[in-house]
Amino acid sequence: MSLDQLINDCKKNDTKAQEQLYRLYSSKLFAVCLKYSRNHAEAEDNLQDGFIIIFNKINQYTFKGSFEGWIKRIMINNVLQQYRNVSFLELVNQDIPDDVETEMDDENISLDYLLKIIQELPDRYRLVFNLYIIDGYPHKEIAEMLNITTGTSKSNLARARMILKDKIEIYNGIQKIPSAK
Amino acid sequence: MNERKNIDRLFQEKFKDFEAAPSETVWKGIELRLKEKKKNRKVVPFWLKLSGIAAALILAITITNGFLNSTENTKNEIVIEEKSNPKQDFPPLNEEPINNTIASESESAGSSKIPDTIKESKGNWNLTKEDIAVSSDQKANGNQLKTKNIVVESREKLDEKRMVTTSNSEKNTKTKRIIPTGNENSVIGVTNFDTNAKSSLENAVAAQNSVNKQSTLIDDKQIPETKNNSIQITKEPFDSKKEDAIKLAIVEPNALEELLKDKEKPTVITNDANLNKWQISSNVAPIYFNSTSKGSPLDPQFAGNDKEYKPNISYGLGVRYALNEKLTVRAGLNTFGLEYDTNDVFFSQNVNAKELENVKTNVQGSMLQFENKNTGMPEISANSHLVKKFEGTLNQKTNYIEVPLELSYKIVDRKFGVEIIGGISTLFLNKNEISLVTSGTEMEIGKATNLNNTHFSTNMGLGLKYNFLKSLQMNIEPMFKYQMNTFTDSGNFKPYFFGLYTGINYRF
Repeated sequence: MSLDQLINDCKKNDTKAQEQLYRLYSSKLFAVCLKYSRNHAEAEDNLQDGFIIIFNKINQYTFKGSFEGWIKRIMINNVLQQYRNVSFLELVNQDIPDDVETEMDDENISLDYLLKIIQELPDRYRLVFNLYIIDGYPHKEIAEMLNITTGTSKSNLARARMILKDKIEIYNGIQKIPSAK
Repeated sequence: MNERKNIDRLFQEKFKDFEAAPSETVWKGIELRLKEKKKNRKVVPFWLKLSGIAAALILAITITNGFLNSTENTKNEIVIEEKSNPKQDFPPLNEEPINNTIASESESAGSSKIPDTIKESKGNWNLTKEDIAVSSDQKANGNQLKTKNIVVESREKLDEKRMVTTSNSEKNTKTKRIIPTGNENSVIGVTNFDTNAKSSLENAVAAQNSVNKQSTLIDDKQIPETKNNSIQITKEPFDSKKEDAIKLAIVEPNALEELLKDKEKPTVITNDANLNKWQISSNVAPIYFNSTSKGSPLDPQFAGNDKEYKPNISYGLGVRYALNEKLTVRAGLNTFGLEYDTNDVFFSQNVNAKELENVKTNVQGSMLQFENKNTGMPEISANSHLVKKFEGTLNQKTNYIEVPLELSYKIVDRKFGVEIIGGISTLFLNKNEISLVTSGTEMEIGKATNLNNTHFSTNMGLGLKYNFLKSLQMNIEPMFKYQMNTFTDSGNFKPYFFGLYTGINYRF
């Protein structure tokens, strides 16, 4: 069965088709959820909610553009919704800090660790980081989606980087003696 | 710089093909929620409809049963009442005319005075001297009129019958006719014509037949003719017992009896009418819904958009009670839905979607931003594939339970009937749904927040009916119903609907 056929069946609320669609995309979308959510448990909840929304909205999909992109967008939107109402202290200092140049030995860093430190980020930083770095949204759009200014988006990103960098260094520090430059 | 790039690239590369399998509980949860939704959708409307119709039926039956019992009681009362009246009210028959005769007799012999009796019967004709002579001769001859019956003669040629009606006999055919006999020697008898009294007709005929004879007789007896001209007086007193005795003036026994009969008749008629006063009716109507002005109850930005109104069907039951021959009051219970589309709507996915003014969105709806295609800015974005706008239609559905209360006035009342109908309805909101429709598929996005749970409409229309059996009647009634206070804030949207109510009535 082609993907289009599957999608059409889902539009008709065919239970079998819905399950099949889930099996097809759950891994990818769960990965997205993991990156955007605070932890594994929340990621699972968000995945479930997201799929329900996908199945409800599937009639809106008009076969224009990538289906995977469409469902991914829904998933991301849902997660953003989850953390939208969480109040976030706006940091007064809007300066974009300079990056300190340090050598990064990144080859052995486990994915699990990276995932962990992403999840540990404060919500807003995490969202901005994911949206910009991993999913490639421009700051302007991120600002719209999160209801913030472009400047805030940029500074949030910078801070996220800093935090992650620090944590990576810790990791490296544990693993290796950093080579001084 | 390097640092930044390093981090960025680090994450990008590591997560490029990142996938993770969720636990099976996730799917179980999804499955469950999908099932519940499907079940809910099917069950609720079915039960609602069924219970609505059942409730209406029960209501109609109880009301009609209740009133049926009470009408029987009233029927009996009416009968008793009517019967008790007649015998008491009428004055004794004999007094007045006799008074008159006595009066006339007591009047002076002088011929100048016209006796009352003659005066009263004057009507349209002229009394001549001879008339007066008659009366005086009457006296002279010592003929007493012992009874109330008086014969009046006149030489006048009367070309036509003149009718003198008593004040009592407006409705019915109690008239006094004065038959011209066209003959000098004739006697004009005043007869009382009752259509119901056969004998009077016979007498009238007899009287007419004897036009050329010298005497006209109401009674069977002949009046002896005299050579002399005018004076012919019946010696025989007319039989007062007979219903159709000749009288003058005021109230005759016959008339009284006729009145009695007439009074009885209405009682019989009203009894039948009571049985016929109640009807139950059922109706089905296609409804055409529209607005008298542009505007949108969803959001002001859609005020100018094209709106497509969908036809719907209303079902209902009703009860009618006839107040009188022409007026009927009617009440009922209907259920119907109204639906319309707002076209030229752009929607796009936006986490921070600007909400529509009068719409409370559900989860899916809250992530969509709706704009008017005609006035919205064209989207220009570097990453336009991410801010895709789609075209769709917003569909608003509202269902109501309607309780109409109307009055109808019959213009034509035969086998085919026509009546004017007017009244008001109370409407209770039953369903409130806003959906997005695109590519032929539909998704619910929320509810309207500006709909009043109860509102009213003023109704007017025309009723056309056809009685195909004594107790069964078919109706077609086009009705126009203007909605008042449908919305708390209607955004200049003034809805009305026009329905063609067709149905069958059963009369008890």
